[in-house]
Amino acid sequence: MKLIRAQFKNFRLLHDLTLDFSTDKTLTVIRAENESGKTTIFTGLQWALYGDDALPQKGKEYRIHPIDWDASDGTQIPISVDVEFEIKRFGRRGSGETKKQYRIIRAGHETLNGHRNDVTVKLFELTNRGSVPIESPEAEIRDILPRELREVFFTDGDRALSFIENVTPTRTKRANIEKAIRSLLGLDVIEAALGHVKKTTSAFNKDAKSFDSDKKVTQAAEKLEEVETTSKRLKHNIGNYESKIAELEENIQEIQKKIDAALLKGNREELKLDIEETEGEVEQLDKKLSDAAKEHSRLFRSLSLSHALLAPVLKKSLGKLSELHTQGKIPSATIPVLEECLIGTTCICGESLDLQTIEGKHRRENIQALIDESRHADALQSKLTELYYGSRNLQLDAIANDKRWIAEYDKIAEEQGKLKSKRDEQGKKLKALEAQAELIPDSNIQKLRATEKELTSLWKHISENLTRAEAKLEGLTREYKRLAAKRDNHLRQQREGARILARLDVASDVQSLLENSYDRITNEEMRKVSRQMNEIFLKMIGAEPEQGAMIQKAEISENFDILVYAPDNRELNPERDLNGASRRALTLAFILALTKVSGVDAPNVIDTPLGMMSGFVKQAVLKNAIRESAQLILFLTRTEIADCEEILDDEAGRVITLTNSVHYPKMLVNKPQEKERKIIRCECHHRTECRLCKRRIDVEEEGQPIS
Amino acid sequence: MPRNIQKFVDIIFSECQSIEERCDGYKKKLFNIVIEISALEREHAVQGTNIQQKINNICGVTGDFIIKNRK
Repeated sequence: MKLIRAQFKNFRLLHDLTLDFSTDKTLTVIRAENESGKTTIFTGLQWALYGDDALPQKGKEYRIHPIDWDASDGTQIPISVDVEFEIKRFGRRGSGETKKQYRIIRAGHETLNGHRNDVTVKLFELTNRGSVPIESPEAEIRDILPRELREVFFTDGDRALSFIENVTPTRTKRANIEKAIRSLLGLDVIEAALGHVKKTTSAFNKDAKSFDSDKKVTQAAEKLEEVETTSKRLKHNIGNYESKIAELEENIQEIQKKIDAALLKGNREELKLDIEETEGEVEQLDKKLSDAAKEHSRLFRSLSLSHALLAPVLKKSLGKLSELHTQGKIPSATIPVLEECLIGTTCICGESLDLQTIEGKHRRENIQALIDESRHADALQSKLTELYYGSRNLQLDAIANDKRWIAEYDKIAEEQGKLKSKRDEQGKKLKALEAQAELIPDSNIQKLRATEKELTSLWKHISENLTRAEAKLEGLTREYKRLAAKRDNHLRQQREGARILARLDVASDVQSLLENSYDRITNEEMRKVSRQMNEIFLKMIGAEPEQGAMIQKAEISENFDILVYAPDNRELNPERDLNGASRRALTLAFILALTKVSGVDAPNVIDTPLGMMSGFVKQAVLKNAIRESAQLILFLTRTEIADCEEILDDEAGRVITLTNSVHYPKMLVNKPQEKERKIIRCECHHRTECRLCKRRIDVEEEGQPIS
Repeated sequence: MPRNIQKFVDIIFSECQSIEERCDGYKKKLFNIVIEISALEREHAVQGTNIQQKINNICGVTGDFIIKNRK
């Protein structure tokens, strides 16, 4: 199958968009940045081919119409996707290849609340005479593009990792791979044919009973029927046991993972103790920090620090005071001198202060008045005097040179720093422990281990049942062969019997041919897919096993697991041990190998295949994808295209650029003419840009001024 | 019919070689009917035909072919 053209109408941001894919060259590139319609086109194409099942959450509450739909245009919004494609048809016996073109239109209406109605799907064969409608289009499409292969044909760079990533349950992962392989290799058709041929054998066996004259054939045929019924029941039981065992194995694996994860994260009880201990340490450190702050404060309040800090100012002040003292302005000597005068009977001027004389008494009264007056008026002088006498004994030079307080300050600061750092450390530790505790599931390890034990015991029980059933079936198969031989012997002896025997022989030969072919296709083709995947994968990541590369090989196991090996055949976990680019390369290699080995002419539509890649791997992935695919449609961002331009020059048959009008003015340079929010197509290829698609980042990179 | 028809045809053809030649032209006949049954299965998957009856008839006619052409 080759996609030729697709037209989207009112499919989310795709108001009216037509894409035509390259049909002469393998590669078509849709260049688009994020939010520029890549995923919408991807979803739209699948919706056209597979219906609502292909939409996220199977279309439940998934709106298709544009979010900014103008309600004045009507509340029933017409939606449609129209895809033209070509398929190769063969004659019944595998000969006579012819190409036919078809057109599928899925259309309907949607209300503003996203409810879809009148959705119809129509398929037309495009002939020279016009479009010829085809009945049962869904069945036809199912045949051309089986649903189980949707993820092989339409590969979302991220979703496709479900083939290898551990986030996908093992059973689902295996089932995805198994379904893809069986369907692409056509094993489902052989399985169905085998079922029908077995029923044909039963029908011929019944015929044998109906004509028998001596009842010997009848007896054998009846016994054969019984064996067949019992075998059928046993096979049914075996199927159930196998599926139950697979389910149990998956559950046990899940529990083991939980136990491992819980052990990695730590035991909840142990964590609780750790948290309590850390809380205690944090509390103690807070107390020490508080003490250190007090100590710090005490140092700043101390006289020695004050002296040391004030020494230069004090020195200057003391100089001033000494000057005042020298000038006799301080101390205030008047009062003491006058007071001293009053003690004696003679004034310093030699006059008598004798109280017995009027003059003496009068002089005394004058001196006392002077003392009172001085006391009252000269508070400032007193203060200066006080300061002078109080400070003259200070050893200012010694104080200025005394640096002990610095050492003390340093000691306190250092201690505080250490304590703060410890406090921060413990605080972080406490937060981390609390966060860790929140992550631990409620179930404890012991409980998980008990469940594991219970499931393992059940697994053993069912495994034993399976072994018994298989042994019994083996016995019945032998019995069936014996009875069939007995029946055939009796049949040979009768004329009508020979005819039925011949028919039984044919049915048996057809069955045997189909069974052998089934086994060969499964084994041989699976090995081929595995080999091819390995080859493509190693080329993509540039690993050369002979040169001692870290990744030596990749293969698909009998259980449909994708395995990767390091030197010495050590198994790697693709999810844990491979980087993002290699994981993506492995998935793409699997998909391309499967498509190639099956020989199916199908498109590979891949959304953002080169994400997380750069340099050699990116180029090698692109080159190999082009080489291995019948039709390759890639949705690429400019970043993904970077460094791959030359490959696209040579290999791309068509490059289309898509732009989202709402990206103006933030990301687009020019204002789009379109008023609606929509995806606009232009013909620019990977190296060009036009008024429509010119982006600011490109302009800035080119160093041009932004207009 | 499986999707890769040529591969399937090749395998059936090769497997036919190890089947007993029950009469002249039996292997060729068997090869053709297996291919035809596979094509019918494809058709049945799309259109839901009466495939069981068709396969019974094919095997019946081929059985008669053996009787008729047996040496």
